[in-house]
Amino acid sequence: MTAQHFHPSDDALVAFLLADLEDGAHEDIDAHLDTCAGCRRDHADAAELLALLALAAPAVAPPDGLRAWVLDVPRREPHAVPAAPARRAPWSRLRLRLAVPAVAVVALAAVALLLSDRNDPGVRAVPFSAAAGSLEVTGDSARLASWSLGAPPAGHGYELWVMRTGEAPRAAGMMMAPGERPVIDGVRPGDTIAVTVEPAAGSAAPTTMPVAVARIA
Amino acid sequence: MHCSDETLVARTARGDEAAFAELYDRLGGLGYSLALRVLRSGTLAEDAVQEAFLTIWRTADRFDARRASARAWVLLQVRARAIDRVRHEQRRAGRNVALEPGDADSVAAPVDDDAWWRLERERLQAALRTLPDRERELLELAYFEGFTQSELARRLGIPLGTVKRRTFDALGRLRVLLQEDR
Repeated sequence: MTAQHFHPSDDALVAFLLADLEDGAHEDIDAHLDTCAGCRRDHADAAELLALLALAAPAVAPPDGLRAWVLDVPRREPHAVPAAPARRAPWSRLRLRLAVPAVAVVALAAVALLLSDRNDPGVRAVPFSAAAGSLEVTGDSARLASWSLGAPPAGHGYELWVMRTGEAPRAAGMMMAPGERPVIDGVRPGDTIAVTVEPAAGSAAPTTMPVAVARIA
Repeated sequence: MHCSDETLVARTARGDEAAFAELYDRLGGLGYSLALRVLRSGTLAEDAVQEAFLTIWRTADRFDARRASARAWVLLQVRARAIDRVRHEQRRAGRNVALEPGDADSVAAPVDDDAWWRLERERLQAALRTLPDRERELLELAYFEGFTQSELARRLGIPLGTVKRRTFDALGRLRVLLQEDR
């Protein structure tokens, strides 16, 4: 397991991307990438180059049957989760009646428990974990007061979630650029606000571990 | 659709069939050309693309855009399937035998890409031509023939360290060349 903590060299990353490694070494790097932003960036750079190398192959049109086969895949293997509405306005609330990736929910709930603080029901400034920022809570409204984690990665946004015991996470809007100060309605004491990195179009359920959480006392 | 490849993957993860189809339309041709170059057989190349897109449909929710662009993820999946098959064939036929040219349908006429890909292809191929022969050959063997660095060292009769250094240098040169005229 300790091998996961070593940053792979550039040529190890290339070997990883070219599927040259033995299973154990491959899994170690895979696991390390889950935890290390620096190596993920190096991996992304190398992946881009190696994907471009595909252009060294002469361009040949695939047979029509290939397209038909691929486009038939969704019919043969319907997703368990129905498609979410295509457009979501920012800050809109989306009541979730969809299946949620179990791991994400359990993990978010566990983090929420760690933050529980029953001592100060009157506190209105609510900090995020890891000094990521803070919320200002007035009545049942929570406004992002400060945010220190910078802009989301290109093509992505920060998605806000309201976590409440016994319920699926409620999507509460997207934050696309520094300086945005979204407002989340309908918060109650005991709720946890979580922030995850999601694709820019937003997700119906969290797909990544939160970058920050805040417990509404 | 005028959205990013990453958005298409996100929508695919939510079961959006139109997004999945668009993803294939953008990248399937490239993937097929890549697989065909590796496998030298139209039938096997189709298999590789099918397997890759099946995996993409099933695992789009696990795509991590911090690790790689959606395009890199898709193309490297196709390559991984094709390389798997090549290595499997090599093991069956004996380690040092290159894959024989395959079915008659593999000798398909090259086709014109759309304009943007044609430009990208010309840039990449021009950049490759500027590499020292030894570096370009090594890259092509590693990328398209699926030889590991150890196998290349053995085949070419050079130390493993030399293989690693030349591969690293070649990729470094390519990176500089491809960034220059953006």
